[in-house]
Amino acid sequence: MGLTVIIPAYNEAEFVGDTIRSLLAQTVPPREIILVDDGSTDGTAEVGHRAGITVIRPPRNTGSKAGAQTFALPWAGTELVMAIDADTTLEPTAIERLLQAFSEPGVGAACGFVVPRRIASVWERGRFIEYLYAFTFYKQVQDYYRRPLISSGCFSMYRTDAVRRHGGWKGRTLAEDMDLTWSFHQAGVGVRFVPEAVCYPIEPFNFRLMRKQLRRWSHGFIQNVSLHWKGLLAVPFLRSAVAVALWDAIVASLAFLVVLPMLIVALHSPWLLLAYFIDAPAILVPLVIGAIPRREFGRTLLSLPAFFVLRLVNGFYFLEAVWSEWFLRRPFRTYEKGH
Amino acid sequence: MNPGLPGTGIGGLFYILSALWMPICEARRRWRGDAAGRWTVVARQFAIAVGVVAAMSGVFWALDTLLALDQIAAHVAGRQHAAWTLRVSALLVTSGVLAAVLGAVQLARLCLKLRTLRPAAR
Repeated sequence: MGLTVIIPAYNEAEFVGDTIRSLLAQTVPPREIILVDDGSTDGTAEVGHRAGITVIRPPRNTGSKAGAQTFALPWAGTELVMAIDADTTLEPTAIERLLQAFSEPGVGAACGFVVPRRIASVWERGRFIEYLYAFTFYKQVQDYYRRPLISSGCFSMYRTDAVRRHGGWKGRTLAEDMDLTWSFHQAGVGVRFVPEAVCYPIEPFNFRLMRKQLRRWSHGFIQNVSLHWKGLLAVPFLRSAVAVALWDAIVASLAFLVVLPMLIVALHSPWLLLAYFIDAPAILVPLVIGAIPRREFGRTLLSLPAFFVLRLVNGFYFLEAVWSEWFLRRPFRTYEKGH
Repeated sequence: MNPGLPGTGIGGLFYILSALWMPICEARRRWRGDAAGRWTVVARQFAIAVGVVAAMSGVFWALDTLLALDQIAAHVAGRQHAAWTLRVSALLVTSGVLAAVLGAVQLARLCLKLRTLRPAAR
């Protein structure tokens, strides 16, 4: 099966060279690699030209990753198309392993395991734990029930005709990957998660970038729930997984950020602080199982505290998104790159 | 991306129950002849779910031991085995909330189905 890779890029000259090199070093290389230079001013296009891949440029900045990817879709002349972020590298066997998912009839999308490439700051460490937990436990359960919640935008492969039927990657929400995945589930197009296909994106390494990413993700989730809720009700397992995720994101955030601080003050009980990380041993179980084969046990233990910091910050931005999207009716539409 | 807050609240219980259900589901798939040899995944996820339950039980045991939770709870509630009652209530509340959320989803689905059927029946 032929494969075209689309790399949407806006001012990614620093990282896109690594992405292209990792694509060219695949055990099953793609037939074509298209770099969408979305109005960059830092020489991103030159990196692509030097590597000998196809570089295209929209007449003006499309304003989002979805726009850049959809702009490139007519150039994809293969049965399969893959979207990869311009700051993401792959294990040499990643494409080969992801391709195997398409031998199953009805599969229209497949995604892999995501591990941050750099794990140094508190934000990168928090994200490392979040991914390791979610991809070792939640996502594998979702895949078993044939309903992965998201085919991650940073590294996913699709049947080209299925994406075309959907009208490409739409910019109507800030989470185009979730939008496409949920549309596929509703249309009966299969989505698979292949844990053996590993990718390494650059994650936000400071608070400024993390804030942008969390805002985009939280608003994107709310926007997708608003857009798809009726359709989701017809999809078994997915409807439950989304409802539970939404409930937790609202109620747990309120508990962590409002109820617990009030209780601690009212009862003068520092023991209540334990509630912020009482689930640490339970979280550690999937982490250990995920970390041992990767030989990252030490790094996992060292990074665990950062997860609880990220969880609180995540909760704040989630509540902000709910308030802004559902109560103030003020949708957030600006696509701010936060890696 | 990850929606919500992984590792928190009823989501944890939902995935534990889903993972514990996997062996039964796999056996059913096998019985129907549509399974594709996924016992390794099933065993792994089942083990994780059991491990998480064991870890949480360990946390409660440690809290009991370190904080003498039983005496505190007995003092507050004025009866014996109050900590055990507290633990069971906590589990029941979490399970109840999960059941309510999942029930609400089913109810919404039925309402939507009825609403779409009604114009067609006219």
